[in-house]
Amino acid sequence: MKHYYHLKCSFSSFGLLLTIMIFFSACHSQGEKKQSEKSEKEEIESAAIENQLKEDLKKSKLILYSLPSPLETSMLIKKAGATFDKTRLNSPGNISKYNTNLKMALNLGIYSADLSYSSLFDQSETTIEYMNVARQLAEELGVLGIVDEATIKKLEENMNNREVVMDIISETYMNANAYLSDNNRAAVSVMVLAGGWIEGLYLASSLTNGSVENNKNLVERILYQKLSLETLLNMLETYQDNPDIAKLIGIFKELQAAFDKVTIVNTSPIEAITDTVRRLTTIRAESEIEIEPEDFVRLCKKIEEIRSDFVS
Amino acid sequence: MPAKYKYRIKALKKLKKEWYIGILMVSFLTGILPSASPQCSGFARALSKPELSPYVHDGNFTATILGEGETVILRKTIFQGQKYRFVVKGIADLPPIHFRILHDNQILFDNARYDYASKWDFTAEATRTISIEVTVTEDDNSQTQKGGCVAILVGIDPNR
Repeated sequence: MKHYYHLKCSFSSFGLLLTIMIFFSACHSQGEKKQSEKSEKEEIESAAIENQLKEDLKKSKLILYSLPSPLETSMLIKKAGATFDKTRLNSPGNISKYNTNLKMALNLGIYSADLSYSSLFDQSETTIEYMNVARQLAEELGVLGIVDEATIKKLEENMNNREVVMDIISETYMNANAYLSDNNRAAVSVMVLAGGWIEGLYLASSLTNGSVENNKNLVERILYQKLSLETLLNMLETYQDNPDIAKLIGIFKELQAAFDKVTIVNTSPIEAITDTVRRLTTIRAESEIEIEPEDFVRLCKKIEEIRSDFVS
Repeated sequence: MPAKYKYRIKALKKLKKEWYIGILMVSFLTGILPSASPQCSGFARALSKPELSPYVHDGNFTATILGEGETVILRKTIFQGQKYRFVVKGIADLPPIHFRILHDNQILFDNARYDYASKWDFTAEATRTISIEVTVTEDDNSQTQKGGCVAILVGIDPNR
C-alpha cells in the first residue's frame, strides 16, 4: 500500500542512486561521439557494471506495514472474554468538535473501531448508529462515496448475520483507506489507522479496569500491542515531514516509554509445521510476557490520556 | 482490464528491461512511486479479496505496483489463537508471484514449494511480528519487463 511503504535506503542504495543519476547524466551530456569512441574493453566493463547495478537494484526492497485493523482488534478483545460496554465508546455527539484534518482522521478511525466492537457483540442499533457517524465523518474528511444508502440498507437487512456485517465493515474500512491512498492523502490514511488502533487499545485496557488480575487473556493481548506500536511508529515515520504526523510521533513515543516496561522473552525457537493437504501452516513458539501491576496501571492511564486527547 | 491499464502495460513493454528497472528504482528512491493506483485498489477489491472467503478480510488495504524481480515486504504482527489466510496475487500479465513468510530471517513458509500458491492458511500459536516477502519472479523467456499491481490481503477466520 502506498501509504504504508518505507524504503530501506541504505548507504549502498544512496550510492546506487548517485550512480544511476551520474549514468543518466553522462548518457545525456556526452553524446554519440563519445559513445562511438568507446573501446570494446570499456563496453565489456560497462556491461559488467550495469549487470551489477541490476543485481543491486533488485536487492532494494520496499517495506510496508500492517497494523491490526479495528476488526481484528475487536475479535481479539472478544476472544479474550471481554464484554460489551457502550459507555466506553466515543459519543456520536462529539462529531461536531472535529474540525481539523487530524481530528477528523483520528476520529474516523476511532468510530470505525467502535463500530467493529459493537458489531462483534451483536449490538445492532449501535452498529448502525456508528456506521452513520463514520459515514458523516468520512464525508467531512472528503472521503466520498465510501458508505452509501445501499450499504446502510444492506447492513440493516443483515444485522443478524454477523459475517455479512463484518464483511461490510471491513469493505468500508478498506475503501476509505484505498480512497485516501489513491488520492495522494496517504498521511491522512495513517492518521485514520492510528485512531483505530488507539481506540482498540483503549477499549481493551479500560475493560480491565487497570488490573492485571481481572482478565489475564485480555491483559496479555494488550501487552503484545507493544509489537504493533513499533509497526505504527514505523508507519508514522514514513510521513514525519507532515506536522500532524510529527505531533503523533511525539505522542506515541510517550506511549512507547510506557510499553518499555513490558518484557517479552521468547523461550523457544519459532517453528512452522505445514500440512500440505489442508494447505495450512501452523506457527509455534513459546514466550513469556510480563509487567509489574503498577506499570500496567500507568500504561492504562497513558492510553486513556492519549485517547481523551484524540476525542476531545 | 481497464483500457488505461492495458495502455500502461503496453508502454512498459516498449522499455528495455534494465532501463525499466532503473527508472522504477529511481522513482522508489525519490518517492515518486510506488503509487497503488485506483486500478490497483480495484484489482485488490475485485479479484484478490474474493479469494479470502470464507475468511473475513481484516480491512487493511495493501497493494502496490511491482516489476519483475522486485520485492516488497509486509511486516505484520500475528496473534496467538488467530487463524489467518494470506492472499498474494498479481495481475494476470505478471509472472508467478513468489511469497515467503519470514521471522528473523528464518523461512517459515515458501510458496515456491507449492506451485506458487496464491493463498495459504496459517494458524498462529504464538504472537510474533512476521515478514511477508513478496517477489515478482522473472520471465527468462521474455525480452521485455513486465510490471503491474500486486495485492497482499489478510483474512481472519471468524469462527476461531
